[in-house]
Amino acid sequence: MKIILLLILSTNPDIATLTDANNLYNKGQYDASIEKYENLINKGVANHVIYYNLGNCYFKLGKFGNAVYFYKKAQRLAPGDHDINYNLDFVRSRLTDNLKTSQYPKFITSFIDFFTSLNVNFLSLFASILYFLLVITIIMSLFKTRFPVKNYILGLFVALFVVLVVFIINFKTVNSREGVLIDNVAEVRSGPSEDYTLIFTIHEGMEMRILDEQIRQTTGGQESWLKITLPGGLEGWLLAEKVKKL
Amino acid sequence: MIRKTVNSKTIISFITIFLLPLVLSAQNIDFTASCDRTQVALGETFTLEVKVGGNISNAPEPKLPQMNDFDVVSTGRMQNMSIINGKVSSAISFNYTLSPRKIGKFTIPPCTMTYKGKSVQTQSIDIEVVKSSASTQSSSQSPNTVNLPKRGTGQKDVFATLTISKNKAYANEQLLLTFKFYQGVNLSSNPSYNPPPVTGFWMENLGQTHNYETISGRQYLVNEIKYALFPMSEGTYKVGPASIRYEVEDFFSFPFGGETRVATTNPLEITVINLPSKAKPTDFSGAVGKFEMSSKLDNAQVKQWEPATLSITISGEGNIKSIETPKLPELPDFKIYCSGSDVKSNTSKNRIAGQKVFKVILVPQREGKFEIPPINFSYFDPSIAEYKTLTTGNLSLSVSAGIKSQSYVASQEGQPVEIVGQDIQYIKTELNLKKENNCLYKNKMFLFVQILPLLALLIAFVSAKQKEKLLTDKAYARAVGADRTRKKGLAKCQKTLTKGMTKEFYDEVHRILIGYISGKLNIPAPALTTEVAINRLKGKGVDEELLKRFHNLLSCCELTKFGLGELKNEEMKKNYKELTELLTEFSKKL
Repeated sequence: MKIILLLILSTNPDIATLTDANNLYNKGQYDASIEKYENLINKGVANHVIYYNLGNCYFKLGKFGNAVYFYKKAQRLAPGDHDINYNLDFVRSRLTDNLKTSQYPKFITSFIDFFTSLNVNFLSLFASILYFLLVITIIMSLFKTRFPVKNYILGLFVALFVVLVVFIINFKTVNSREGVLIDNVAEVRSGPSEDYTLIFTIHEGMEMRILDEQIRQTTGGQESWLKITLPGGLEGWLLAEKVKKL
Repeated sequence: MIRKTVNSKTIISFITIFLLPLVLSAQNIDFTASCDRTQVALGETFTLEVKVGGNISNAPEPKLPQMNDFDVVSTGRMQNMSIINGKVSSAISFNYTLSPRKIGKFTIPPCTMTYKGKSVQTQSIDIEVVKSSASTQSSSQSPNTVNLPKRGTGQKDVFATLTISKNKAYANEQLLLTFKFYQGVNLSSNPSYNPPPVTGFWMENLGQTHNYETISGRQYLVNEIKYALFPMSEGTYKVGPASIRYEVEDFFSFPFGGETRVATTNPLEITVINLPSKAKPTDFSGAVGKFEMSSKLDNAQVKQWEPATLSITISGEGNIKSIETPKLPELPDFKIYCSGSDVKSNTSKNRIAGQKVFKVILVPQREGKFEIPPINFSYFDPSIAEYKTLTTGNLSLSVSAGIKSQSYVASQEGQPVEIVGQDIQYIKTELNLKKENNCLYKNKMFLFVQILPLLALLIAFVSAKQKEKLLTDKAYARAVGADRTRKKGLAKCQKTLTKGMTKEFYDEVHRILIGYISGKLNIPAPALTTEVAINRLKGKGVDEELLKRFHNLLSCCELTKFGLGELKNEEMKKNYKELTELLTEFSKKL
């Protein structure tokens, strides 16, 4: 039975591509490996494993911007995964620009980390289960059974509320428009054109939230500008082509 | 006999098979030497790279052989170290920039290194030194071509000079060599410049400038090219002459370009003296210039087994690139790894200045508070001809208890192996082709299922209300109960009728009628006599005819009940029909 299953698996072309890609990574042929992984993504097979491995390839090639981009993509799908978080932190520590980490005490950050590490799908399922339980308890209380269900209603209600709040927060981060700088350097200006004052420059791998996008007609055609905000709260405009959107 | 020889052969082969790996593992050091090229022109430099690889944490510097045909211009050291799955691997490469002294075929003898009492040797390398031919020179020197703007007036002298900031210098002292090209005429093309041949020095280009100078009433365009020179060793050296080829714009030969001429500078002689041996600090390692030193720890609080990085920064003017790592004090509580250095140099004010940062990784072996003693660094200041020693301040490091899980236990001594290299986590090899998304909340099935509890709640609410009404409202309960008993009773009637049980049949009919009416009128059944029932029903507006039929049926029942009448099956059927008709009539009226 197992052998048959393996045979079926090995004849699947996607499995073969994935195995090839992993082997190429082991041989140090990261460019070829990237191509294989991206083939899979283009075919619609995309999951945190593939994104994570792609991030590793780009890291090995020194393309930290792309590495951050793919690690973040993987993190969105599997927020609690240790390897992904470790490597993302590792790349961030190698970047030119220093991303500020939070100043809160450790127990608070680990508390926040726990909640933000929960997958949106898991949270929706969990909320749904709590909601079912809540409805069942309410129904039971309506029929005045001897079981003291009424005491549980409030607890369930609070739990459901908390889960929903966490869901909304994580949902917002997962669906927030984020971007990663792929170019080596980008100049951030006060407005959507080269004519505006240069406010600051950022380097490859910088993560940003995208607030707005504007397309500007120029003599050579048109160029797209993004309004962005950095984790520190800095805001400005930069050319959209330098940024890969998550 | 034959058997015996076979046996001895097998033994030998066994011995070789088992012993060979032991021999190989003993020589676990990879020691190689290589050159970036095998043919060099005189005056050029090439790099000799000596690589030490294997699982050794602190390789000694290899001993360079005596080389009579080459000058060692500079040395450098690069170290890579990583731990993968507890295996330490390190590669240190020592780079020597060599400059040939004369033309010919030479051999670089093998380098030797002694590590743990064992001596290893590299192979020797053959190098051919050729005369710097004009063609190679023009191609290699093309970036140095002076770009002179053309000037439209006059036709006078063109000449070049070579000057040095000092004719007598200490070894490794920074000197400034200036080449000046005075141009009083228009040139028809860009002049091509041959830099001064320099031997015994390490030379670095400081860039070029141009300005105007007036000499005895004549204005010249002056192109200046500056170099920093570092003498390598004691002796008297010749620098130059440098030459420059240019074409003068000539009226007659105008369409074919001008006449080619060469301007040659004066040669220079520099006497290099050794640094004074008097009052030479013991830790002096050849730094000459003016320096400053600082040190810092990236983290003043670390956990046991976690690395802290000590950076020692030496900045200033002088031979900054060839400065060696300052000697570190004894730190028995730490494992120490030199993780290399980083040089940033710039050429401001005609001097080479910059900073070199040495990074040292300290891995604490114990917890507690530690003081890192001052680090000393000595250099020679040629401007005052004195040695100076710099000292950093004390640094304190507090080490808290840490988890040893990050270190791997080596096999023999039971000593932990510390983390010296960091890398990303390995790829995930699981063959996962699942399509993942974050869109469960968009799934139609999931959303549909979420409506079910609401429906259940609605149904439960309605039925709970119903139940409550049954419990609290007696009249309603009776009315509902009446309907129920009627249905049940009718079924029973049907049964008794088919079986022909007359008595039971009439009992049941009576019970149904009384029960139904008592329920509908909200009067307890035992209190309901025929008279009361009729009166009440009259009050409810039931017509006489129906009441009569009701009364007849009841009396019929009572008669049978007391055994007064024996009724036939047909009669029973008629009465059953009457009963159902009556009940439907009542249900309409009441």
